[in-house]
Amino acid sequence: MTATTAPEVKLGKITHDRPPMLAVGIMIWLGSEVMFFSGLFAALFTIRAHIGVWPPAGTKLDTVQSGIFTILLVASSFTYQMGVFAVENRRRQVAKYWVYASMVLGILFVGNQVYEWINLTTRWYTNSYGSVFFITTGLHGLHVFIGIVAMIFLLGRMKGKTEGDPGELAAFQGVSYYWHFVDVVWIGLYSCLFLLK
Amino acid sequence: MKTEARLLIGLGVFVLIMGIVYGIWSKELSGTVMLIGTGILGIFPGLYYRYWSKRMAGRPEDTDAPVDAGAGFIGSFPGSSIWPFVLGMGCWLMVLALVFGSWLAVIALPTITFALAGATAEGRRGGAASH
Amino acid sequence: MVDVLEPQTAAHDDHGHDEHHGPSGIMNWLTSTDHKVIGLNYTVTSIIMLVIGGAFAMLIRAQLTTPNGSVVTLAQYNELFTMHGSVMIYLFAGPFAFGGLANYMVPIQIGAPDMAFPRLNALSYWLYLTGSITMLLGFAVAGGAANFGWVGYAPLSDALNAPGAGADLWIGALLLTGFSAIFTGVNLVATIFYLRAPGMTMFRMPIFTWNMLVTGILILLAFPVLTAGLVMLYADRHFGTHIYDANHGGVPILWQNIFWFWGHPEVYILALPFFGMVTEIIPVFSRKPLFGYKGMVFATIAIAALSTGVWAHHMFTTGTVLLPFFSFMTYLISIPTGIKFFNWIGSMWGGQIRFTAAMLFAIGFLITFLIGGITGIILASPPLDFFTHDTYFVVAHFHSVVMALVIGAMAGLYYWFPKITGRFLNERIGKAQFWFLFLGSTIFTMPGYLLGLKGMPRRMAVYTLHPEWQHLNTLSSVGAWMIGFSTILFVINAVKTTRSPKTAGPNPWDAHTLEWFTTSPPPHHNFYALPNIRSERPTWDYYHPDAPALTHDDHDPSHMPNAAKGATK
Repeated sequence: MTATTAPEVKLGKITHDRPPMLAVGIMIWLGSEVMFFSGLFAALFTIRAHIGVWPPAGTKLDTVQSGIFTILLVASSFTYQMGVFAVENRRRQVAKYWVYASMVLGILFVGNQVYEWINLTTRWYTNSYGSVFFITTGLHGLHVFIGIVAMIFLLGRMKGKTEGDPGELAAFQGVSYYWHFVDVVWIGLYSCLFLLK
Repeated sequence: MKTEARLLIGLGVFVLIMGIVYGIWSKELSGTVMLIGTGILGIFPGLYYRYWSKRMAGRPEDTDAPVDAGAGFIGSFPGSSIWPFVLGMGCWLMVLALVFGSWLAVIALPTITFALAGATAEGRRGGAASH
Repeated sequence: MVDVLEPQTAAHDDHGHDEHHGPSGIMNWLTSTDHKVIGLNYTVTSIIMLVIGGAFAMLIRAQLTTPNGSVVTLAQYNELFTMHGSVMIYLFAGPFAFGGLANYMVPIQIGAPDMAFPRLNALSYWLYLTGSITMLLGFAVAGGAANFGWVGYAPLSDALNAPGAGADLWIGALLLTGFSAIFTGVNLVATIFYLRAPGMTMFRMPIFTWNMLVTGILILLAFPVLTAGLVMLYADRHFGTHIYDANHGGVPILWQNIFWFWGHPEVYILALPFFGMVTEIIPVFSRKPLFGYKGMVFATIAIAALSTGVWAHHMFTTGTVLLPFFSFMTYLISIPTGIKFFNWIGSMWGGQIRFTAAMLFAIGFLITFLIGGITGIILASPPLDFFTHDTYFVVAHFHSVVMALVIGAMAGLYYWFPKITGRFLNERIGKAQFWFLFLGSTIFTMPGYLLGLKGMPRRMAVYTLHPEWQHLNTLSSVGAWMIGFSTILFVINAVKTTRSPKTAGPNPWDAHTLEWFTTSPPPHHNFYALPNIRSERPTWDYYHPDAPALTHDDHDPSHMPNAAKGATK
């Protein structure tokens, strides 16, 4: 009924003549994710304004260490984007390596977060700052984790095929939009929790 | 895609302006943050559609096209799939685990994983409307 | 009108998809990803929820017929009004509209074979069904169901004041139905943006589809915020965090801000689909094109835009909100709503009105909603709101609004029932049902306004100190029971109809939009053929080639609607 959306085969590169349906859906769904984090940021700023001293006296955060892992997460966005370019150019094997690289960086980030959670002297029950810190970083970490799981499923979907099926590029790009989004949210969260005094 | 992009960007810009006015006037933060988020919700997908609308010819549904203009492949729409049901039950058990104890998650998580794997395999075979 | 196949006669499916060879019976119910099956599942489930929520309402009204009612205990009364509100808002009104009729009709109205993401659509239904069961499970656990009101205000819903599992089930149910709504919203927006038939430009879409697009966007901005709020509430209850805990630097009012940031767009998520339904029905039964199509679309968009900036008018008496801003925005939102009323009346003006059951319900919707809307404008004024806050005036106000939605739901059901089943609902029972429902709604709400002005607070089970309130309360209860009786009439009608012959044919009402072009019920993937789409009334144009709809910029007087109408029959 509507025009073709199957990827057009040109020389080498796969292109769409319109955005894939999956991409249209994912973009609008990411809008709803923005609202989810808006709710969390609303709590963060309200409590920040309410308690006055931010962070409260006695809170020990390692801004530098988290900063390094922030850079790793940002780097994983770039590595994943390299994977997207590779799939577009039909180099599917190379793309898989880029996905593995992004996964490793994502796992390192989550690992640092777990380390931070264990070693932070302020606990979630200590005060409302601790509550906000654990809830926001926890839910963001859950999003990173879901992104890593999505990559595992994506690799499973690509496994053992020499040629991509028509939906493969769209699925690959869909995960990339999500991954970039999670990355950008972390930059906001890092700024609000670690940098903003 | 032009009208779609305009709709979303227009809504987003309106709410963003409202949010800024509200923030300056009330100095209340939670509402300001959520209004700005709503602005982003409109503007961000809107810009994506706008990006595409500049790069493609009008689709048959955007013009006075005859009804057969759209014949062709748009993706397959499976008549049936068991995985949404399995996934739904997994999610239900997960929520019940929040209430009745985390032992339920031991059943819920494998169910969810199993359903997602099944759904992905279906998409891989071309059975899902994934594009 | 070239290149048009006869409806129903073309033998092949022109969408290039395989014919449907899916499983049948219970397996079909479990595995179907067809938007029509899912839409029907949603509709039936939500009507069951309407009956359950209605039964709670009957008990509440029975309790209030005497000043010292003993139908239920005080604790049970708290559970009843909480679950009545929760079932009606979360499990009936929204899912009926955007999961039920919209799921069924939107793809057909734009000429699509299915929703954009059929499996996600099926997942939405399962999350909705399990969410509904989860909410009702509250009555089965120790401590009973949630009892802090459907708004779950923070200090009342914390671990100290609501220790039972019922409150957790309430939170879990809202998480499940919230995700179900978000997925449906994504599906609606993607379907409307991506799967329209050739020639179906955005400004040729039926108004119902337009309203569902805007509803979809509102779902996406509202529900995730509630989800975030619920996650924090759950963490407060179980992990000992202090987000809403005033004793440890938390902010209880934050819950109200988050809840109503969801809650007010939610009011329009509930209302817009029913606006869309009556906008479909009124022109068809007036035998006229819709008056002011573009005005209708822009009014819908304006309502959505403004609805994000009015949430704190539910919180005027907290003393923490910017009164002039929210009062002004709330007044402002009445303007697009007024435009809609103007256009509905304009569509009926000078038409040949057929008073079918669907049309009666649509008119009943206008009247009842107008009463609810006007009392809403009264409440938008902070001084008047301070006086009536948390009284039966507010209860009557929003019950006028939601009873209008129930009447609108019935309008949609009577209008689309022939399309969905191929059978007509009985018109005589339908008209009887209309009068019971419409008059019942009025008799039910009007005493509430008076009681509120006398000062009767909401959510109280006994009013021993004010026996003079009894007469008005009894009158209100009579109205509620009339509404209950009308629901029984509907169930009888629907059951009776399953035995009647399939006489509807593709276009029984001589309607305008694409869903009336296909067979009743529609085939798998919806269409055997489509007409060329050159206006917002493709089916009318096909059946009445001598009386085409006006294009929006056509001001030639010889094409005025009356001339066009005179040319047919």
